[in-house]
This record gives sequence, C-alpha cells and structure tokens, in this order.
Amino acid sequence: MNAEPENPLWSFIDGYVKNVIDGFESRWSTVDLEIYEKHVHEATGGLLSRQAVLAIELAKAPSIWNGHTAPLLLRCMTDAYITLAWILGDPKARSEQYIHYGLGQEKLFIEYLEEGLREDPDSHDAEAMQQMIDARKAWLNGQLAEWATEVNVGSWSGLSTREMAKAIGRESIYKFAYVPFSGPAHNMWQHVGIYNMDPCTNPMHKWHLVPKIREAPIHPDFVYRAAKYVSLAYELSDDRLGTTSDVPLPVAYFVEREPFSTHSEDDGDS
Amino acid sequence: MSKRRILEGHKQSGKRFIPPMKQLPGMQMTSYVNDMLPELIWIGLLNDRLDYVATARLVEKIVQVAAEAAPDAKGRNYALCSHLGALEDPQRAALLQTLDTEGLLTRLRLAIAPLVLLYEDFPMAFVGPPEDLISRETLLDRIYRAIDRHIDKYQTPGIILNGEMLLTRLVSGTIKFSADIKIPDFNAVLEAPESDEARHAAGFMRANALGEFGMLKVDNRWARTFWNTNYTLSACEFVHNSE
Repeated sequence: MNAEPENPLWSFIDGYVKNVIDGFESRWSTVDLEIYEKHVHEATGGLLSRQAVLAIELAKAPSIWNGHTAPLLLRCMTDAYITLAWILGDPKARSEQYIHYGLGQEKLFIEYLEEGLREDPDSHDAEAMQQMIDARKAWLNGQLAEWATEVNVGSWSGLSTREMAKAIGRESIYKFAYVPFSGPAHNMWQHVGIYNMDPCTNPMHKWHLVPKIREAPIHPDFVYRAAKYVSLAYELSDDRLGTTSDVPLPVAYFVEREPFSTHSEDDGDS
Repeated sequence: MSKRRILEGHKQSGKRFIPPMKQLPGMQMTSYVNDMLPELIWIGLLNDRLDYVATARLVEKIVQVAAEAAPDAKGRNYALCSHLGALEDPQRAALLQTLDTEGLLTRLRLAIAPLVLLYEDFPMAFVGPPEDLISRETLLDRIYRAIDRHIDKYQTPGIILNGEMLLTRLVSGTIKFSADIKIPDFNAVLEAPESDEARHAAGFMRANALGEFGMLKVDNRWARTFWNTNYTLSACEFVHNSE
C-alpha cells in the first residue's frame, strides 16, 4: 500500500512546533528555581512560555500568515520580548511589579463585574456571572489578598514601551517592529488605509479609497519574524536566567529547513 | 440608598488606587505562607501526630524550659523554630535533658523527623533524629500532609498554628492583656468552629501572630531554605494533565 506523500509545508510546521516546544522545555528544566521568591520564575517563565505559544499558534495557522492578522501576534511578541528583557534587568523587583499590576487589573475587572451584577441582579446570566466572579476572586486571592491589592491604571512599569526598549538597549526593536505592528493592532490608518481600502482610479472620483474586504497575500516572512522573536527570548533566558539548551534556536531551524531554507543546493554538505 | 462605587474606599495616588488597609500608617505586609509557616510547621507536625491538647502541653514544656534556660532573651517567641535554634549549646542540652527525663523527647523526635532528616540547616536539628528508622517516603508523605493541612490560616489547623504564638507568650509570661480587652474563648476554635466566638478567637490569634511576627523581624534564611528544599523534594503536580 502506498503511503500518502508527506506535505512538505506541514512537515516543516510540525518540526518547527516541536523545535519551539523542545527549546522551551529543555531550557526551563535547567532553571534553578527559587520557590521562596517564586514570582521571579513565575513572571519570567510565564512570559517565555507566552512567547513560545504565540510563535507556535502563528506557525500552525498558515491562513493567517498575512498582513491582516499576523502583525497582531508579532506586535504582541515584540511587546513580550521588551517586557521580559526589562524585567530581567532587575528580576526580583520588576517581576513583583509585573505580577501585582496584573492582579490589580484583575481586581478592577472583578469590580466591574460586581457592579454589573448589582445593576442587573435578575439578569438571565446572573448566576454564571457570579460563578465567574467567584472563580476570578479565588485566582486573585490565591496570590495576593484582594484587600492588599492596589490598582494601577497607568503603565505597569511606570515607563512607556519606548523607554523600556531604550533601557534594555533595544530601541531598534521598538522602532522597526513594535511601532509598525502597532498600526494593525490598533486599527490605525496607516494599516487600514492599505489593507482595508481599494484605490479608485477614476479621476472624476478624486482618487478616493473604497473600503473592501481584500485578501492579503500569504507570506512565510511573518513566521520567520516570529521565529526570530522567540529566539531572542530564548537567548535572553540563557543570558540572564542561566538556562541552557542543545536544541537549535527556532530562527536557525526556520532558515535551515525546506521549504524555507536559505541554503542553495550548492551549499550542501554532501 | 447611596450607590456603591467602583474601588470604594481606595485612595487615588497618581494613577494608583490604594486599598483602605494599605493606607494605614506604618502598614507592613507579613506573609503567613512564605515566612510564618516554615517557622511553625514543626508544631504542625506535632499536631498531626499527637493531638492539639497533647501538642500544646509539649510546646508549653519546651517554652518553659527554654525561657528558664535563656532568661535574658525575653524577646524570643519559642513557637518559632529559628528562636529555639538560637539557644546556645548548654541551653539546648538542658532542654533535651528535661524533655528526655519527662519522656517527651522521643515524641518530639518522631514528630519533627521530616524536618531534621530532609532539610539542611533546620534550626531545631539539635533535637536529633528518632531512634526508629523512618523511610524517606514516609518522611516526605508526612511533611507534604503537614504543609497541606496547615497552609490555610483560615482553617482550624492553620488557626491553631497561629494560636501557638500566643500560647507560648502566655506560658513564658511575656504577654499581658489590658483588662479592657475582651479575650475570646480560644477553645471555641475546636469546640464550636462555626460559632461567632470561634471566629472572634481565630481572628484574635491570627492578628496577634501576624503582628508579633512582623515586629520580631525573624531572619528569613530558614523560610527560604524550607521552600527551596521543598521544590527539590517532590515533583510538580497539576490539576489538569498537560499532555
């Protein structure tokens, strides 16, 4: 019986996803965990995992390797990288700051939910809402008692993302990745004007732009960028947390394997 | 009726909203789980092995002897293992001698064996290991269950552990209450745990323990060792299988 020929794209994706997972797990297994001050590994490990998951989810969905959707994930990944790098500049204090800010946001959301319930106690979903409030409160109180949780409605770090990027010596990632990916993430005109509009060429219409639902071309470069950002995070982990791994970095995996290999046939070892 | 507002009682400071309790002057956070539990868990192991009354009697005896042996160290609270670990060699010897004479040393050694045998630098390691051989599996199981039982300060075992800090003060005569303070019936925690009196007593014990622990500024070396060692002693457990 003939086996179905393997699809080279899906073979690549499967291998790439495994590479990202192995890179994360092998590194995390070498971390010297401090349970007494556990917020350091919780914050940094969580962000490292987040970075890996975003890279994986993008890779697994070739239909979103386009300018409509991929930038949303890439902007999130550049943000995660800047956040992780900034925390690792002073892990104890900044991990706690990061976690406490998140707990404060959760407390604020719970307050909104409770207000909603007070205003409409007979709502059809009141019971489900109460269950959600209880579950969220349990999660919050399991880490820091609600009564001790401050709510900060400013920036979690007290800095803008640009200032954080500057502080970690990576202003370039802010300028050339975070900023351009912020357009699609915030639905700004520099994105919408290109991806959601079709220029009318009729001079009588003053070259107005017509809103259209347009297909955007699929391009593996988006996955390459994600591989680069997750690799940067892994390198950061090795440098600052002392992790090690024999697994090749995702960006190396990407460029060294078909169908996206950058090596020409003449470059082969054989 | 006035409508309740979002973050009611919080004080705005720039972009931060400070909860009422954290607005109190000199407010200092003390973590029961992080810092107090490692200091008190030896009593938790006793509670698990004996019962609350027998444990209280044994702890009372330890406090009496330690207080007599080190009369100048009134600031110490001997419910905390680091404070017992601060006894000098002759004082330790006197304590062990008394416990042995009264037939209590074997009980103590058996109960706290997991701490003596599984952890480096346990402040009460001077008590020594039990004569009986206990398997590593059993030791791990006992410390696991003791932490699990005592980690919630709102449940009876955790309340009792907090109460031990007050008991030791009463025994050593280093605390006195003003006649104006209504002292709750501490027995209510065990006899009628759901009663208002029990809640009052539990709150009284927790507040006293947290307040005193914060003031004592106990060295956190043991707490750090305890938690970090725990991570090396057992594997992570998950509610959901991640596979």
